[in-house]
Amino acid sequence: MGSDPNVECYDPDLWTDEFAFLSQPGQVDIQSDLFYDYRTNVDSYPKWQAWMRERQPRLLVIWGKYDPSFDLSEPEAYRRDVPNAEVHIIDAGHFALDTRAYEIAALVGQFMKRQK
Amino acid sequence: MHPFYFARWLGFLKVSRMVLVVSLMLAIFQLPAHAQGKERPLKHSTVYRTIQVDGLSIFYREAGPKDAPTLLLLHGLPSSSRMFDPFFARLSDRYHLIAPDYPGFGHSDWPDQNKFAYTFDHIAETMNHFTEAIGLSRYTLYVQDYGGPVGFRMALVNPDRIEALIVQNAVAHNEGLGAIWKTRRAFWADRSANECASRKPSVTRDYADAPCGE
Repeated sequence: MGSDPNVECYDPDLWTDEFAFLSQPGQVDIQSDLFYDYRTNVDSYPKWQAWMRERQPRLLVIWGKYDPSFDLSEPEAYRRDVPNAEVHIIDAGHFALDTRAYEIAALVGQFMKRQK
Repeated sequence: MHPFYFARWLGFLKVSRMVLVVSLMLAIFQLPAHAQGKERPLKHSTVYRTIQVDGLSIFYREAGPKDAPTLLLLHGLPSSSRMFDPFFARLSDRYHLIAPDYPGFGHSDWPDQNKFAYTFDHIAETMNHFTEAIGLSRYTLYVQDYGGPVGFRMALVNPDRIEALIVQNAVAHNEGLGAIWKTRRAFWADRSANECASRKPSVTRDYADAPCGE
């Protein structure tokens, strides 16, 4: 949720379900291993950026601005790699689909339609 | 106005109003459903399946016409393909939607760490094999959070499969990792010294007061 003021838009069942899932035996160790490996993502960023610069894929960036983990400079950083990227900052958190599904589905639908 | 003409004028108004109403109705029915502010009725049920990939049972959600453009939806942490439920309710009339759970997540297998190395390379490899197992050759990748590192690896291995890329709150630049990553970077630098502190923010949402340590 981060600092998302739209607290009433979050279905509490989603939290309790995720928490129950992560509380199962073995989950913490699995997630800890995978998170330790996250450092390899940081090492790979230059490679992914080079791929985007070279390929110039059709790119849509949708960014929930109340993300406690990820910096708000990130969506614009994609535009450095792909100048034609379509970037939308929306009034949502990290799990933007939890609260702004109608808006994101509309953006995705329009983006997909233009692809045909 | 002469009463006769007035009556005719009234009659004309009635007729023209009827024509107007009918033509408006026709126009509305001809508009695409989403332009009417309504969802189209979904003709495709969501199905919940598993398939064997590299000896693991991989769970996935699928909906929409198979000959429509495919959206491959890669989830984040802490979540699973379930986070894409809202898309299944809104986009499956027009697009072929596929949302898998990674090994270690949701309803896919979670082998012991001794039997499966939980790395992004390994998960991306399993997911590439998953797309081959279900016969996907071209897709638009939608990536959120962990979906980014999984999806970029998949794209770099098979670039020609990528029709387009949709990034939602997933990072591919160092500056995208905010201040909260100081603890997390310390964990990467020295795992054993920072194991406990890293577990709280990395595997729970901030609402949960998770116990630290075993």
